[in-house]
Amino acid sequence: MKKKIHSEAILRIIGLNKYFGEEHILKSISTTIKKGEVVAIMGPSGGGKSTFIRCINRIEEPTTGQVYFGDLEVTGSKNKICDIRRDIGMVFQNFALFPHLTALENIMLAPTKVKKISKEKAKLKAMALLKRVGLEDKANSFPEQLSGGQQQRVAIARSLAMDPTILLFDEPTSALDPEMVREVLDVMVSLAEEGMTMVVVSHEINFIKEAASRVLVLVNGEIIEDGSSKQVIEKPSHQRTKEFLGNLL
Amino acid sequence: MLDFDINEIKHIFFNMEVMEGQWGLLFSGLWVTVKIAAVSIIFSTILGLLVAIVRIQNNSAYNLLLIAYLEFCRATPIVVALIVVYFGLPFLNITFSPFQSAVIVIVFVHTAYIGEAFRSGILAINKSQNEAAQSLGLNQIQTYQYILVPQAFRIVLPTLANQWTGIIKDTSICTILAITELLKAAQIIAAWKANPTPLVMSTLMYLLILIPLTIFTMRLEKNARIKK
Repeated sequence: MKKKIHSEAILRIIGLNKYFGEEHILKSISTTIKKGEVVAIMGPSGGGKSTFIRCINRIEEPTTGQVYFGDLEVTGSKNKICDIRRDIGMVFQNFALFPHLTALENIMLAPTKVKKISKEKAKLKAMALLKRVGLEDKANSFPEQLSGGQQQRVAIARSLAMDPTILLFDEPTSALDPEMVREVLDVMVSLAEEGMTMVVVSHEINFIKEAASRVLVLVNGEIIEDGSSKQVIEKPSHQRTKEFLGNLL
Repeated sequence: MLDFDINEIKHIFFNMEVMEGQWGLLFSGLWVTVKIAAVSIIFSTILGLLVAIVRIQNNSAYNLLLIAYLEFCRATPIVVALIVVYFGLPFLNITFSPFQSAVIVIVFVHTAYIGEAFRSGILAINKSQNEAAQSLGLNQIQTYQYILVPQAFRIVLPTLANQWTGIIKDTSICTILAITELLKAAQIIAAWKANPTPLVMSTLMYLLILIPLTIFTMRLEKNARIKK
């Protein structure tokens, strides 16, 4: 199934640089992400993938450069960063569920405290989201009582509860046992099919073939490949990409 | 070999005749001790948490000030601090009641230690918790309120309970002031009756409060170990 990609830009990243001390992690990266796109970011470890995705919502502070979310500048102090972040969901490698709250409470927290939605409404919505990720029977479980795959699905539901315009995934399946990867990817594929705009750092080649509309390959802080998933995976233009993909397959 | 008379020991240390009509004074002393301890525990816990949060912001000016404060508290015997506040400050026309002086000094000293405990507790939380909260749009205050502080409490509860025990014990420094808390009440009766039984009774009363608290602490520590 091919879904519709709009011309409307959701993210514009212009000349993004990140240094850790002397180390130049991101080298003047520019790209635009349009509504409905599912952009996979691949590349060898240490290439800057995670740093890049974390700079988008300023969990990591870029050294120089601009990120625009719609018309709002994410970088810079003009707009309140927490107001922008509520519309940019993020899913982490280690799930980062709040261990002192149940699955349901994890999902309800931000809608009730940040958006000030009533508890009843937030609960209805949270239950619907749990059902959607196949975990309605785990509403009252604490994170430590859930498997990794279940935790990650709750984490996705937690992000969706804020009705984000875009979802960022930072290696969402790398911390999972192989048999749990599929259940998380299934949720992500269905989100992609519904037209959610997503940026996904991942090496799950099957997921990328199935769901990604575009692939960026990040090596040593530079985008060396930017094209459709078919194009990048089957006919990479860069020798470095071929080597990298060779190691994956 | 060891020549002692059980009746004599009873007569000296557990003489209930001495205690006759004196329980009222002893219990009112206990009540004062409980009040000083309760107020001190509440204030030093809240202030300790605030100190920890300020320390974590890494503002070098505040940090320098707070480290100086911490070192000052570590190096100063609490009785000395109490004497300075109660007997010294009046020379500057700053006068506190004995109750206020006791609370001020105990809170001042224990806030430093509780602050350090909370600081290490908050730092022990995985930093992705903070990031997850921020990515959901929570501001800094909300992140502390709903995510970091509740988790830090769980981590430091055993240490905290230990500090609370210390506060209860430290209330006994008030005997140097004109306030009749538990130990002072016992001393008054013991001096008047020329018999140490009231002191033994006051010791038992301290134990009555402290033993449940130390058992509680031990349980928390054991649970914390199992969880790890």
